[in-house]
Amino acid sequence: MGVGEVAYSSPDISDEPCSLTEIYQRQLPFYLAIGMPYDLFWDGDVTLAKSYREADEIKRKVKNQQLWLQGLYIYDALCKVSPLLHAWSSNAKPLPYAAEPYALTEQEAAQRRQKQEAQKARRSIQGCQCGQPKPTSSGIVERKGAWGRKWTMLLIRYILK
Amino acid sequence: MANTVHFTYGEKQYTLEFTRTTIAMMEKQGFHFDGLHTKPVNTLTTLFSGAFLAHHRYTKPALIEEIFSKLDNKEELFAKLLEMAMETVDTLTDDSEDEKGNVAWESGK
Repeated sequence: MGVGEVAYSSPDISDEPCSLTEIYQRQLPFYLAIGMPYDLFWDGDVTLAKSYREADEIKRKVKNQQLWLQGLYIYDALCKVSPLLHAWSSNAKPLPYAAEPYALTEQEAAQRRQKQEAQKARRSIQGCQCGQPKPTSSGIVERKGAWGRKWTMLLIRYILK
Repeated sequence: MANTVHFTYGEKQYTLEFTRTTIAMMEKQGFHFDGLHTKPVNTLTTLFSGAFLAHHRYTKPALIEEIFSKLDNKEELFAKLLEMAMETVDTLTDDSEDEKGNVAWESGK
């Protein structure tokens, strides 16, 4: 058993011989605790107890997984702010916290990779559109290339006249 | 699904099953599984009538006796009823130990 792991199970019934009713009574609190209704325990299908036990085990595993993930987020956050913890560092800045939650499934991770690649491709295409006129900060379209040269030549000729 | 026994008698379909309540009721009326060794006949007939409590609670004892007298293969029936009764306890305990290293067997001719 690992550190901090909590183990529990239904009470042991092999202590001493007793009536079946006593065994039921002894087991009842455990089944009520894991969510089995009282009526179902006494009057329902007897095999349902096993299903409730298995369901409880799944719930415990899910809970454990959630706690582990929470710990991972906390650890990640601590690592990201760790530059601030350097006492003699002059301009320490923390790294930004993760922009989105961790991908929990392979499918989710693949979708994110595709999305990132698409964004990267879009950015590089936008960067390559240098032949087109770019608006200046004042909103006037700056024309470069053939038209620009033509106007410059006309201006020089006008001056020389 | 729990183990059950089905049969038809007098155009009526019967389902014999044990719940924890019915076993507790039987024990309250004096039934005890230890009786299987000391007075097996009484215990087994009580077990048979107790199996009616879950689905046919108001069946008259005389009718249950009549059905019991006409049923064949009683040994196998009792084995099944015992298995059904013990299932009310077996399903409450962790069965992880049972699955490890037990040898499977089946009857043959």
